[in-house]
Amino acid sequence: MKLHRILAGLGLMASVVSCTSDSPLLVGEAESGLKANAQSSSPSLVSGYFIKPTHNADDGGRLSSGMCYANIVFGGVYLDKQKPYPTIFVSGTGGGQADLYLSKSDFGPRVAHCVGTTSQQRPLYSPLQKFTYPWEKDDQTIVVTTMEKDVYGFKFIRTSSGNVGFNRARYDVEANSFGTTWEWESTRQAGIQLPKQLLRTAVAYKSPTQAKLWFLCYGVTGVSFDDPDPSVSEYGSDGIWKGTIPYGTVYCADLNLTTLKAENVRKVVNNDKIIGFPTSITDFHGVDDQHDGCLVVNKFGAIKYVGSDGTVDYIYDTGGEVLTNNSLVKQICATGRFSNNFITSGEGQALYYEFSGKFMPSGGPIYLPPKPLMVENGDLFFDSMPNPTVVDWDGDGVQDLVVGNSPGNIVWCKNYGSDLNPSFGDYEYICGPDGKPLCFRAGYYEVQGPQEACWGYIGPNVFDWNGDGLYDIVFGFNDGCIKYMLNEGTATAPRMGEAQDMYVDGVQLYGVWRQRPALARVDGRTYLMMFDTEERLHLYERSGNSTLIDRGVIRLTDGSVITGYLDPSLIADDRNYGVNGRKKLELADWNGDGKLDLVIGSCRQGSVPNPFTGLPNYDARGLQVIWLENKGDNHNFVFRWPRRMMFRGKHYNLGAHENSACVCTLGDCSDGPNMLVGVECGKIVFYQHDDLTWENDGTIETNFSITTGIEHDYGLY
Amino acid sequence: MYQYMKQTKPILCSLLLLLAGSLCPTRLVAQEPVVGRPLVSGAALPATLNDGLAQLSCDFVITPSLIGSVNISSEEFPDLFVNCSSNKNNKPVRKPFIGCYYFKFKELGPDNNPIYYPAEKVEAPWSPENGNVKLYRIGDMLYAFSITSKKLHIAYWDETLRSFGKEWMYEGDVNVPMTVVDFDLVPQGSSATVVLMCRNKRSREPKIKSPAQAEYDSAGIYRGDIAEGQVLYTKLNLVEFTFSRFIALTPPKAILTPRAITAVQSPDGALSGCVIGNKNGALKYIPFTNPSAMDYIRNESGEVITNHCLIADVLSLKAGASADFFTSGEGGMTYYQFSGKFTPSGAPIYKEPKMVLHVQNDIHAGSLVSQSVADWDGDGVVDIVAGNSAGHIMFFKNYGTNSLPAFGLGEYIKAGGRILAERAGYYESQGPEESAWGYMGPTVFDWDGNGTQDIVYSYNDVIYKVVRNVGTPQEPLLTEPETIMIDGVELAGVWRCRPGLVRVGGKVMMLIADENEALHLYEKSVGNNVIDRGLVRLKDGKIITGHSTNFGERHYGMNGRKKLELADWDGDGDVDLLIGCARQGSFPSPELGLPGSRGRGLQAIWLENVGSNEQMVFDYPRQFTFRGVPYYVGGHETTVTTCPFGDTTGGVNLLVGVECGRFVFFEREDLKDVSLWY
Repeated sequence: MKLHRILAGLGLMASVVSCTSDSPLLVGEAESGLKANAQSSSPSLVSGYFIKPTHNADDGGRLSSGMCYANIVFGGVYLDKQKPYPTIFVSGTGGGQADLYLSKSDFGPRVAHCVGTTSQQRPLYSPLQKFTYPWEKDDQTIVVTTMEKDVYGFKFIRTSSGNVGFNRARYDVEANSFGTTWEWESTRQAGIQLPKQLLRTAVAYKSPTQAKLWFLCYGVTGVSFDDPDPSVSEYGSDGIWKGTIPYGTVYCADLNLTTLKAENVRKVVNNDKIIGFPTSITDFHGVDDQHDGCLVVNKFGAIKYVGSDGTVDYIYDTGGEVLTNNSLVKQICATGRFSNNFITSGEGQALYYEFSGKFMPSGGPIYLPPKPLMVENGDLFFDSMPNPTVVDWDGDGVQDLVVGNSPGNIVWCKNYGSDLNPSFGDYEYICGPDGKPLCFRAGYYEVQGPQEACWGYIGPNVFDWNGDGLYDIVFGFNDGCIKYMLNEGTATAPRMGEAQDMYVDGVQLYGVWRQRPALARVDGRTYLMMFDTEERLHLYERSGNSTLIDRGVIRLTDGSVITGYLDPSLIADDRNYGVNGRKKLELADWNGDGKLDLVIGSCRQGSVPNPFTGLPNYDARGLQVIWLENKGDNHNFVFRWPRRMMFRGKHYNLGAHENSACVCTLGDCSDGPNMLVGVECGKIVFYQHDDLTWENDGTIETNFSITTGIEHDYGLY
Repeated sequence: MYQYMKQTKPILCSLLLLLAGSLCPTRLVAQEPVVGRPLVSGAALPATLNDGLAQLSCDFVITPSLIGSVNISSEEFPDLFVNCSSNKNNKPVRKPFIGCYYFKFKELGPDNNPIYYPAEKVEAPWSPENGNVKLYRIGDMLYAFSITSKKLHIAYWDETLRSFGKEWMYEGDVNVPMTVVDFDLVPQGSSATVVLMCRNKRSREPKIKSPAQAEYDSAGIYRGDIAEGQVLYTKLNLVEFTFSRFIALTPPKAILTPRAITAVQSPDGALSGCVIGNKNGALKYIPFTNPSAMDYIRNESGEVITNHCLIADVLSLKAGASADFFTSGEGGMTYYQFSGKFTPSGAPIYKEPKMVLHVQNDIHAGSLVSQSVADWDGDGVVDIVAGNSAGHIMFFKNYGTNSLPAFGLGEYIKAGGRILAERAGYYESQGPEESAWGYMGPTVFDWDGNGTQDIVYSYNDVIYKVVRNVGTPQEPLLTEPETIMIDGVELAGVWRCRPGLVRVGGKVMMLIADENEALHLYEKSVGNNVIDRGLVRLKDGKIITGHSTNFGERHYGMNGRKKLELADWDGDGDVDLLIGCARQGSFPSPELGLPGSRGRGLQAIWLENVGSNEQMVFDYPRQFTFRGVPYYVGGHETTVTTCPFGDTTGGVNLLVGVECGRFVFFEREDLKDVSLWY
């Protein structure tokens, strides 16, 4: 097989590399000193790069957008009607500020063409390509749709007086361009008057002379809770959120394609509360001139059909159950003209939904199981904010990846290769006792309000918690509590039991949110290390499965406690304590001295070991992974002042929200264990042991300039 | 997709569930039909089976305080003394139950549950609220000791008078360096070893800007302090009543939310130390000779035992001379018998704990009970299914008939194969020290329309869940709890509520108190999703809310607690709305409403449906009184449901679940409405 990887921009490798089974080394590797896998023709692990799926490599990787943690598919059009799936227009949002040498510092809109299907019949796309466009790079309101023969990009704008106009640009397929200016602009009023604030618009071609416009508006405007005092919760003492939930309602209009004037603007359903926390809308063409309407979606993945006849209902699966989307959905986009199929996207995977042609008696359309969009030569992608652990999950003697993510799933990637030369496939969900994929979500009570109810931020640590020889999962998530699930199956066929809480003296074990606890068994004693409610590093010892004994806070060699938060006065833009927590802990002997050290993946606002001079201390320059060397022993942990991870002596920023570090024995470990770091864009970076250097003290360098970082055109994506 | 919504009130560990299941004796259940006794209007439902056997309780007292375990009537097993404090003075209907009470031991049941006779009041010089009293047999005398941080009091038992007297025999000064929460004595000749559970860090409620501010900060961390306890020990000279110096047996933070301590000793001396307990049901053993080996007590599977309800007291069966002990708390009294074994790490192993019972009792479901009256086991006779504050749901099978019901001990209901238990966890409206509370509010209803009874409930949280019966009407088999959703997010209202449910024309309608504590109607959609059908209103168009602005509490914890029941009270064919609530409830508006505006009385009101089942419109609320006078059953919460028990020739009667754990029956002819608007 051929594997194409662009590795340019490093000064290390400057050409497209084509690897076959006869050429085990990558071109330029010798100069770079990279320790690529000598045995593998298609290395999954290359130091400083995202892990790639090399098992069934032709199936590619799930769609992702460079260093951004959200992908927005804002258009699906059939440029080639012979293809099974449409061409898609994608934009990355969120993050993308990295200066990692293999990623561009930002990510604008891209286009990808369907090249076929994968071995699992999933849509497969070419690598994402840039194109020219006249809108702002970060504009998430653009809709691309097909008209009579052409493809257009629309941008709808509502003025404060309620007038809505739109800009339009035509897509030149040959030139791969929407142009640099709009061909039609909103100053030529479209005649749309909307009484409610416009959120999103959908445009659907209906005939040579007419298109349908769907407007998702705020029927009830929500009010975010805002108190400058971070000690004030978003929830009252009654547990009720102090903000108000926004609701969406739907208007529509008919667009004359000749005059580009809109007519007959009307409210579709006399209900201002069709859907809470609305995000997007798209057309539903209907069947045989019946059941036409639109589809609306909200942040939590609820998808509703709104019929022109006033029907409002969920969409359903073929079993008659309401079909929800597990990802954090920002966009829904119909595909092609006269289509009832659509793509959802957001912070997580992009999914393609195919209409079954049938409806429920209540009116809701029925869809087939959704399929993730795949991209040729894509990286392993875990939605966003992956938290990896490397263990032999299926008991075949080879280590696999087990990963938690921000939607709250725990997934695993089987290693079809070896520990030295791993070959990972796409992930599979780990299921709960009911046989359904695990999904831990915040629910109504979430640190940052119920609008974030669908986030899970799960940080699992795979570990034999009860000492029966089977891997269990101990985890923190979008909460401050730590839970566990026992493996009630076997070593080769794990089967997770119900999630259980942990307690100290009958009080639920609680700390700061979004943690991954560190675990270790030493001389038969099982330790759990985490940041407690005061964000101090704290040690507990397992007494029973659900019960721990408090072993006290852990200290530095100078006796001071170790905290993880940044002093609030040093945080420029965050009003609440949601920037606290987020620490991913790993106990491992990094330097080979026989003592368990502590590696912490943090967010940018973390500050270990004190609020003023700790790391990473709001420093946006580099990796938020720090190492605390154990200067005590494996029962009495005493840590040296933390050191910050660098890659070959340089800082690289992989995103601010979270970094999750995992020490592993994948790849060549002749110099010591290696490291994986899960980063906010949903991918995992592999680092060879000796490629990692450590900043020696806690001070922040002041002379580093971000512009000296090497940029790379991440053109593949 | 399997969804574990992050619950602010997580499901308890399996050990707690296992514990709860072992408490109630199964062999004491009747197998043959039983003739029930005629019910007394205004009285609690009696236990009929096995000479009225039910869990030990004291009238309308929520938590009797266990102060003495002493062999008086029998050497086989000790008698018990409890302190009771009840302000439920409803003269002339009911007398208050206040003071010291004596339970004489009857027998050990076939499942080893200790069984007692009904309580007798005894005279005592201490206040009923004084929890720092314990009783000891020293020589031939029975003494009562009270040790606080500053004072030592002693009284003795006069067998002839059956009294501890009206005054203390001895009063002396003490200077314990910390607040004494509890103590225990081990008499040893002319002296006694004294162990004290002390509070070295107080609970501290956080400052708030207003009642609207949560006790938690924006990171979800509690802003107050959780109490911590330390164990001290000393010697007490029993001749001169002087103490030696106080020595720390444990480090300062031996246990959170400390409540109780007792000394335990096995006959062979292998077990020699003390057991401490806390509000959250944790039980730890501290060996005297190696206190640093302090560890949780275990069951015979080696797992940590947590008491099924919060602990107020822990008491050895015989002061310093028994390895066995009792716990008592809000939810009942439990007996723990030592197995004689230890884990490899040295933690003592106890057998399955047993509920303590007494005869000639009322049926009892824990505390703050919230009932549903329905045929749970498909035998054609209406039963009681009741949630309680510990977070369980209990099933009381009716072995009699609807008119003459016969109830016995309750059984814990299982869901997903284990006993259903919901607890607040760390995040609780009133702080993490209340994390052990569950406040279950279940409504039995065929939610999924498959012909079997399900349970829809809320609890110590703002969300709603359902456990669906996937078995048969006769053999219910409940699923794991599933969350009720709207638009992909949990349906949320105010906490500690019970939903009203009715099926109208094939549609399932659910009535809750929403986030604004307004009565809000939802319609079940597919699965566990609901559709918003808007607020319900009074006949004049006003919305109906339940909170009071004049409750004088420091936060909104007194809100919520609304137990809704949709049932046809007036027999006109339309479902009316019955509401049980807390003392401060105020329907339909904060400024003027029932029951709050009328002060103390039965916290049970009803609103007549003057619309239809399809379009519910309600009249102004009316409050129930008993024969025209207020009938106060407790302020925390009340659940009111209709019931077919007793004489129903005039219409259905009323059943009221009250805070002490009982169910009070009212014949409708004894209930007189009171209104503020007519």
